[in-house]
Amino acid sequence: MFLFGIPFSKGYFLKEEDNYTIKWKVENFDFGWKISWSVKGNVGDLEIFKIKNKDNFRVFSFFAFSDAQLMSFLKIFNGEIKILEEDDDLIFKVSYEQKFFEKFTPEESFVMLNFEDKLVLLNFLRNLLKKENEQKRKSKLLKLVEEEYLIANNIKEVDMNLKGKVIILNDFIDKYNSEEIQKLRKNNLVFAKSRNYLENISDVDGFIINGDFEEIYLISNITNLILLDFEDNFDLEWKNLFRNVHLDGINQNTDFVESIVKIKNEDNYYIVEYLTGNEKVFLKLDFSNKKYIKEKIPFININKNKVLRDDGRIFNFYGGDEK
Amino acid sequence: MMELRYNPLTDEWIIVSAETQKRPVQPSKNQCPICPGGVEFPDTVYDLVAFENRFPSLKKEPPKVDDKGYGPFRKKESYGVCEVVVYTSEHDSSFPKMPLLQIEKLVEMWVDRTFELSKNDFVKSVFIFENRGKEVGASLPHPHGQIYAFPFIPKRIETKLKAMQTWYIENKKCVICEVLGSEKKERIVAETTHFVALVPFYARFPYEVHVYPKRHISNLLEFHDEEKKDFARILKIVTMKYDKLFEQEFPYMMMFFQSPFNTEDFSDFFHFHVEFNPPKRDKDKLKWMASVETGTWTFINPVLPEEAAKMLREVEVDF
Repeated sequence: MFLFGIPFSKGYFLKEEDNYTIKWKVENFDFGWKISWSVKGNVGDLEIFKIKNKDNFRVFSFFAFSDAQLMSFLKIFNGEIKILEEDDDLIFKVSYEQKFFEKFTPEESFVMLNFEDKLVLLNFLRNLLKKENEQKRKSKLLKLVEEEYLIANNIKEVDMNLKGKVIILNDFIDKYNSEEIQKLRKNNLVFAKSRNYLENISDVDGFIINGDFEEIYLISNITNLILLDFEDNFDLEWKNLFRNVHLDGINQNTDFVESIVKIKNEDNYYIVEYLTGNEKVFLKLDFSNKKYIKEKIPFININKNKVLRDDGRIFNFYGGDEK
Repeated sequence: MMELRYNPLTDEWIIVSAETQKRPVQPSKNQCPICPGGVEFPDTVYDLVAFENRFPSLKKEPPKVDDKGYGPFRKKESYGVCEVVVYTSEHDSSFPKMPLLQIEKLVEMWVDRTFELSKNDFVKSVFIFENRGKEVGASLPHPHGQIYAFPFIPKRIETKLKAMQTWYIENKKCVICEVLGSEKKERIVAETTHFVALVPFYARFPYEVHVYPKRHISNLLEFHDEEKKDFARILKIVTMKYDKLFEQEFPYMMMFFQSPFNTEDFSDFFHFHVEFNPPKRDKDKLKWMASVETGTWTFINPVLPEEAAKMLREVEVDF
């Protein structure tokens, strides 16, 4: 079947070249468009999308946004994501170099979103990333104590008898042989740094926090994140929002973030409202000047007492002596 | 027997729970299970309390469902929490009769229960409600409400989410923020610093009242201290007006709609709100959820919302 002269089958357009075939479709959905594709053969570098005027865009590892537009890879299984700035152009590519696919690959995807509110777009993308990648990873808050994890600077340091421990490789995932990592994952949860979280999401069980605020905010919905080190207090404050473990004993002084209630974006700063269990914290983050303001208030203004009854039921008593 | 069964005709989950059949129905005052000295509190005094229902529909550790069904007959474990929320130890009190301070404490408790329950990964929706009066199935007259922490987003909430999201995308504004901006005095029942109570333009029940926070808030966790106090105040005003409207203990279903937890983030377009659905259409007449309402979700409202709002607005309450 052909549409406008282009091969068309089961909703997909086909581009057939000498060494490879691409099948692709475009879907309209809330806030924009989604492009999905599969490849077969020897594709090399595949240009997915190009913006002619890149001036207003900030570029991150797997997405780029301006005030009203957000372009992002959504799901990548096989290739390496490349976002290139060339003259006035911004080019989104996937490199499948040195790979040959006998059958069509699992579908990969990219989105183009439009809306006037940057945070709404980020939230929407955050939801989309979760939906698209849910089979791959599920984010679950791990509360680790020291005995439960091992930080290694090299995979050779890892004693294979450490069954059940969380292994944190304090290096970038691309430095390691994929088979070694997968072998380790059979008995352990494995964390490592990544230059591109989306690209490596299937390779490890979680990441050491290493990116920008927006990147981490997007990806924290899908995978586990661990904070190992930080440059300064500003860095610690915002990365702490997404962390499970960090070093230097500073974790004892920092309240564990139980739940992020709301994130607001105003000009150059973000305001994050979160709960620590006893307190509600308002954290205003000014990324331009690396400054923050933190305000804490009690989460509830009432006494509380939790009682476990013999029949296994929990009774939560409130009030009594006024707080 | 306790399990969730899937209805492929409507794409919704049904809770099957034989336990709930055992719930006591309208016991006498001296047999009230939630009074101090009653079955649940044989030797305990309390102010307010939230506890896991002895006869739950959902459980944190539900019975295992080994056979997950076949073909169109799918079933799964009833993960969730059902809590009873006792507002006061005073059996003969009621929401409108409670002192404002007690309702303020109740709001604090609701906020905390929302937080505690939402910490369970399996919880997707925290639904706080009160059935007041036997006309809406309340089994105990002692002032209390309930909380269901669902492992899925219930169908009507899903419908609201979809509608609110569609409105947001098309109009670039939260729909309830827009209703509040466009609402005229004729449907407003009461207004406080942070909340508006109104009979909505789209009321399904006669004397239905919705309470909307003026600020865009998606769930109780976002309430600040002043809003908590003011929320207690507006709920007291609405329930007092109801009782005074026909000089009777006015039955209602009070339901809180919060954005879901542990799933997609709907907070940009979902606006927290309360619905009061009273079953009365007049002093001595009931509005039944009959075939059309139950079967088609289409409601025939015999009372013009603007008229109902006027009646409720003109009821003066003082506390």
